[in-house]
Amino acid sequence: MPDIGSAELRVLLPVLAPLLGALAVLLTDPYLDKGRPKLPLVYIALGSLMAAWAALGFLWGDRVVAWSGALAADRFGLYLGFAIATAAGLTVLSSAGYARKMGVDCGEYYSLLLLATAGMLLLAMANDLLMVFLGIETMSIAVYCLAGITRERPRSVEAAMKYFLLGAFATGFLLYGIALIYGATGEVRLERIAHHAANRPLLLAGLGFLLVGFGFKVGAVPFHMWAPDAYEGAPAAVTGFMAAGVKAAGFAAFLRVLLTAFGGEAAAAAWAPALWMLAALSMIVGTLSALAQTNLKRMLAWSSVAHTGYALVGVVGGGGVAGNGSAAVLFYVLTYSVMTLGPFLVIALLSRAGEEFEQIDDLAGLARRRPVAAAALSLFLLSLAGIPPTAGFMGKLFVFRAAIDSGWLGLGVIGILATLVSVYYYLRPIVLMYMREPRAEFNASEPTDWASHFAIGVAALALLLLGVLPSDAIAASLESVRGLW
Amino acid sequence: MFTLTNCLVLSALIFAVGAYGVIARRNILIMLMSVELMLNAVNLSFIAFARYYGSALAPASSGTTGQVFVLMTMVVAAAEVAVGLAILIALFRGRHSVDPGDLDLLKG
Repeated sequence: MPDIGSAELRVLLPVLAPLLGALAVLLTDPYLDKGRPKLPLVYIALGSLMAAWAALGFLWGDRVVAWSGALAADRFGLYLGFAIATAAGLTVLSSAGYARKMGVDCGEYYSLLLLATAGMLLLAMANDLLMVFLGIETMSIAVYCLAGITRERPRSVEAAMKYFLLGAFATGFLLYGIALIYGATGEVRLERIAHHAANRPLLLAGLGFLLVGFGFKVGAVPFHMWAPDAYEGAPAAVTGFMAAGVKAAGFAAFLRVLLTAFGGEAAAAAWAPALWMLAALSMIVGTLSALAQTNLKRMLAWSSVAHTGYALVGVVGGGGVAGNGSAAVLFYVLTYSVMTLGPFLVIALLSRAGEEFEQIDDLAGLARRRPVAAAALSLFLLSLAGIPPTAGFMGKLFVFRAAIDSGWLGLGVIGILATLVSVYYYLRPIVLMYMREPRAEFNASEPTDWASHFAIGVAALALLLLGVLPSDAIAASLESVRGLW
Repeated sequence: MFTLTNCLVLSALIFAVGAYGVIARRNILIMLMSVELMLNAVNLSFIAFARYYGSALAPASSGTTGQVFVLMTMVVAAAEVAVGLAILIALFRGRHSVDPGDLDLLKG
């Protein structure tokens, strides 16, 4: 019986902070006036996320393994933990005004957001398959609820239902994979699974099911069917959180499981071809489907499918322990989570009471009416397209170079071609905003939503900084991957 | 009778029945039940493996892990089905149907 010492509690701090925040929000909510804006809830949520940030920073350093090896606070998990906590914080800032507009300014909204964040942080630090499972489920169940939280809007509820059904289905596969891996090795701890020979059929079958389950969670083709519907129907602030946080946490666990438990040559030879297909299909299908969209949220959903493909390029081209591919994935997911959250923050800002601002055609002439929002949206879209000097460019460069360096030339070429095609649909909204006469009315008369502007500003600044001065973040990502063993 | 192989085959069959139910049935309630069936099939696998590793047959004895996993899965499954039914009720209020084919507002 290992005793619970200070190391155990320290490692748990980043998860505990949002968890306690969620409880505090629920306990405070009944004491607040019904009709007034529920600012105290926003303060509690922000405070607990800042505490999580501080805890992540405090743990940054050598690898600490606690709870009998169930959780590992190493740079790998903390790196994406920062991305997750930041995405959650920006979502809360933007929600302060948005939730009121959509009529969901309630304790449940903020507490679910914090619970999902706790699940994501748990997932980022999970070091055995049981924690991976619990983290994924804590995150997913909270996000299913969030997707349908505007329950007066039929499309929101439909999105939640579709997301839930496919997510629960995927959970079945993930769990079956874990069961088979446990059966083949008798272990659920990642580094102990690695000691077993990878050529046994039971273990390989387990790995296959695990790939299907993770494929669903990160939205890789052919397991992407839920993504466009869920992203389009969910309220904009939640969609941004889903696109950034869920994907970052999913990739954290996916990559850690593959590198730690199945990082050996024999095992890698088994999963690399499968992931090659997933990456190529995600890039091609995501990019081609995004071309035809008229709804901005749906277009961004397909774009996020394509971006899953780009990140998977780095996973395939990881080059094992010594290669740069895995570090490239970390950096890519960090930049991706900021640049995909950005457009949704802008959509949330521009939405009017009970009505989402989501048609691409509505963007016409936005630069004239809302110059700041238009400039920020343009920056986010340029970064998603991978145009320098934004972070998106550095991320793509790093990933494709790692893949080509380790001999996956075909995948690199598909990625570059997909990027070229994608420029078309990322530039179209920018052309509309700057070169067309305004068609729709924008709610310029409403009081300025400073919190939302601040969140958008932080995201834009982060993208520019990561694009112009990426060396610190890249060095940290390289160190993070080295620290896994 | 209850050998490891038999239990695993039974578990795989139940899992397949569940997966088929999710894909083929046109009623969200039955799809939810099928998901539960899948999770319980996996529980059966876990228990069978836990028994195997807990016995003298296996080299390392780590049978408790599988049992703990089953308890966790049951908790998660309960939470999941509660949320699923809540979403279904919200959906049913709006359109009085439990047919997934009627979920056609989001397309493209």
